Amino acid sequence: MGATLLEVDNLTTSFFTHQGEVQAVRGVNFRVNAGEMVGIVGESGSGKSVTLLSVLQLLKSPGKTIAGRALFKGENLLDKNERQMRALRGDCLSMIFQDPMTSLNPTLTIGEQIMETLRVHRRISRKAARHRAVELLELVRIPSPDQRLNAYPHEFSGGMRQRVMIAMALSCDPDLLIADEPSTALDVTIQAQIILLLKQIQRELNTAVILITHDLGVIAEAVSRVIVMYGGMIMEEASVEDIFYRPRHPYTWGLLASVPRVDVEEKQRLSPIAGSPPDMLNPPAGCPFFPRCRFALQICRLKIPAYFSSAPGRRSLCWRLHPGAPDRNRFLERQKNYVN
Amino acid sequence: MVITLLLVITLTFCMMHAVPGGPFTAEKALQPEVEKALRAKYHLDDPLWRQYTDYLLGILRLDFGPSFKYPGVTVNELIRKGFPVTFKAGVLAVLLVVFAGIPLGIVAAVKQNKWQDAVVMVMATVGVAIPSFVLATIILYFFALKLGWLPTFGVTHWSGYILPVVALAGFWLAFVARLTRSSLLDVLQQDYMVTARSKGLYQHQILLKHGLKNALIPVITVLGPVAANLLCGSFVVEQIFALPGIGKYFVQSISNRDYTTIMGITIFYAAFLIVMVFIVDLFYVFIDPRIKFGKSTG
Ligand SMILES: Nc1ncnc2c1ncn2[C@@H]1O[C@H](COP(=O)(O)OP(=O)(O)OP(=O)(O)O)[C@@H](O)[C@H]1O
Ligand SMILES: [Mg+2]
Repeated sequence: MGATLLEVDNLTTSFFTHQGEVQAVRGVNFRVNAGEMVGIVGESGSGKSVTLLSVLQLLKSPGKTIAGRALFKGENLLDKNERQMRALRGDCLSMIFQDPMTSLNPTLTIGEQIMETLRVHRRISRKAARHRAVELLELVRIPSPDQRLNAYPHEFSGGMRQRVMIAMALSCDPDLLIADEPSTALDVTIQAQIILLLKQIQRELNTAVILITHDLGVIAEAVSRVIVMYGGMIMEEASVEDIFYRPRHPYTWGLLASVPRVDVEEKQRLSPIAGSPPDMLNPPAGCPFFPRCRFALQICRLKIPAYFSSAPGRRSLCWRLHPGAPDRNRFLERQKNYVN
Repeated sequence: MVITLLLVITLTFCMMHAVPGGPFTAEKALQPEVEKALRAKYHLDDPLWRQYTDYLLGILRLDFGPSFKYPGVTVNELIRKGFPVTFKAGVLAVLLVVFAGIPLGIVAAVKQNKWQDAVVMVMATVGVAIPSFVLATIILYFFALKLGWLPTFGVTHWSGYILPVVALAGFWLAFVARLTRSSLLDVLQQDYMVTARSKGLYQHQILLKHGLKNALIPVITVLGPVAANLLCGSFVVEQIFALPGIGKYFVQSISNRDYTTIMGITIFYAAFLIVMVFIVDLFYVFIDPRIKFGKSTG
């Protein structure tokens, strides 16, 4: 894998609403290497989107990044002004969104929507842009691309629209593509196709991809590393094998238990995690997961856990993993219940 | 379109003949012979269906018949005399609504909750709340009587149009400014606006190409009827500023029970309105690709 492309450090973002400060992202650190595909997983409201919108400075008011750095190729994106960010967005860094039905402009042809990105960054002629747009539609496997350029978004199905979004995001050969739940709004079969397409693009074009999802199952085969988020923090980070076969965080266990598995013989009951995500207006003082955690200790209520690492590149935010925690080994045995 | 128009014609015709009293009922009764002669001249003694078909045939030849009250003058002449004045004032009012209302709405939306927004919204709220005759009277009082900047009435000089046009446009200008603002604010919240930003487009591209084009769809929908409304003029405003427009004749014709004039002007308006709505529909197809002739897809 390549060198570090994006390094996010202590990123902290809040929404200053009338009710008070919604602490959406609370000190997130992670890095993404060039050409790598990383998954970010977590339930709805865990702060996945806000984290990456903060990196791209695409937050809408009242959202505000109050601390942290986001180094992209060594330069802090959070220090850049709107003019500098504009030049980067869509060129070096691009993003696709959850709902392909509403993310494309209904009154412009898809050709125009692809070409305008090219023309704003590359200053090429309309003809060259059109040529490139056809190539891009071919790349994302849209049939008869030449004619489809003149079609409007409503003439496409959801899956096709998402392909158009991907083509648009790839138009300037970005180094990093952020895909925010690109398949959540689609049918199951289409979901798999979109993820596969992203995987192929990452391989062929060597584009780094951050794949945000709340469904671990969807990304299992595509990503090499998984970051698990909850309550605006990273709960666990590990290679995809470790997440699936050796998860160490109770929240990850919960996520795994709610994933439908094809490799399990008996018809398995899906068990979503009991309880609901914390109210980020008044997050718990300790571990954000403790109110729903079956293994919570006294300290979990009082103090945010530290990261405990069992190997390079993997860490888990849980007091149970503290070397001095009670019944530590019995706790670790439990992971077997969640993997096969 | 033709069917709508036929319906309007039939309806006005029936209503005209249903109201009690006729054009020749006056305080001072006419001598029976005179009335008889008049009725014969205007075919008022023909059976109703006969009058109706005659009238329809006349309209096909674009002939609305003679006025009952102005002997020797046809309704066509009245329209030809009054309409240009009304139309000119109307066009100016439409231009004012479009080129002031929409930009004001945009400014208000872009500067949401800033002082620019507050100024526009206060003006627009007042504009929507004040009836046109009050606005007409107020501006007449200040600009013509008090300050003496503009003529009080008549259109012998172009400046005579200013006050009536402002009075005509006032309400709709405020209405369109508000509508543009709320529509644009709504569009700015849409997902595709975030997409536009994430593509690294320039602010003006985001606002105009992605924002405004979508935001104008509801505005254009109302502009059609508004334009028709303004081009038909306002009888009240024409009265206040003594504009020699079509409204003057219409008001007079009603108090005079001048059947043919009432019907002629009504039908003329209806036809005009239908044409305007049709033009707006054409515009609509142009700006919103989801709408096609004959079918609409979501
Ligand atoms: N505009 C906003 N105003 C106030 N709070 C917000 C706003 N947008 C997001 N939040 C809060 O930020 C937190 C994180 O939201 P975020 O959208 O990042 O979640 P997510 O992990 O992407 O979830 P999803 O799977 O639903 O997309 C949530 O608690 C949410 O309520
Ligand atoms: Mg999200």
